[in-house]
Amino acid sequence: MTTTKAGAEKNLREFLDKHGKDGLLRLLLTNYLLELAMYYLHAEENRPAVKEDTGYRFYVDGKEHAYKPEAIERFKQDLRRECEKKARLIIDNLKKTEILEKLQTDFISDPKVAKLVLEAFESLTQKT
Amino acid sequence: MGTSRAAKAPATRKWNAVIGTLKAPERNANAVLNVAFSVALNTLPTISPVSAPIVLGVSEGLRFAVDVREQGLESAVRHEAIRVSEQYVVPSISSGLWEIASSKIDPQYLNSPFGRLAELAFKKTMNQVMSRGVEALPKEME
Repeated sequence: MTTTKAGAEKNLREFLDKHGKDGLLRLLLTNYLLELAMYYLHAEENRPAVKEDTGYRFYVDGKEHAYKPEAIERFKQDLRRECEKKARLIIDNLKKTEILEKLQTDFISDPKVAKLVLEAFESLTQKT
Repeated sequence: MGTSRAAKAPATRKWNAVIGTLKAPERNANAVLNVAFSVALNTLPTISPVSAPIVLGVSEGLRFAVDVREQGLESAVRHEAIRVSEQYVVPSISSGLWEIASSKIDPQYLNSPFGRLAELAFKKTMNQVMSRGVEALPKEME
């Protein structure tokens, strides 16, 4: 069933009441990081440096056995959890620099804010 | 004829470490993701192409959510000049919001793979929140 305008408003209000702006930010960043992970983990070989296809290895183990669909689904869920950890780290960094509240304004015109956002995202390469 | 749209792996031997984590007998999502992001993102001269599109999406999404809470949805969509389809209310709002966000994104980032991934994630998130409400955030993420 399609959602009406009234339904969309009710859902959005209830989401914010329960999870706050933090929850929306966490969901959005987690979804993005998962898309990013799936993009990289489905990469093709790139000779001479990389002789194997990561996309193939996502579905076939080191002994050349294809993973069962439920194992692949479980792995995706695990990846999602790991992406959420990284999303939380980015959010913590944004909070530390007190720019979380500025995210809903036209902050990007401020070079200092843009730099702090960049620094928060640099945590993506840190081990979590 | 092949029609694959997959990207090539980053051109560094370090990417073989990612393949190693995927081939491990007990593959572990934590190791796979940490190594993949570390290798892939360190090949970029700057993290800007990765962060800019999604941050502008975040900004638009948060602003809209707050507007809806304070003024109601009708007023928020009118304020943003979003055309809402009667048949596809939620997707049309998400698309309209992304159009606004994307107009502020540097075209070189917007048209990059990261811009497209940010668009997917943004629309998916807004669709989830407006159509599923509280349950859009899985229990384990609360």
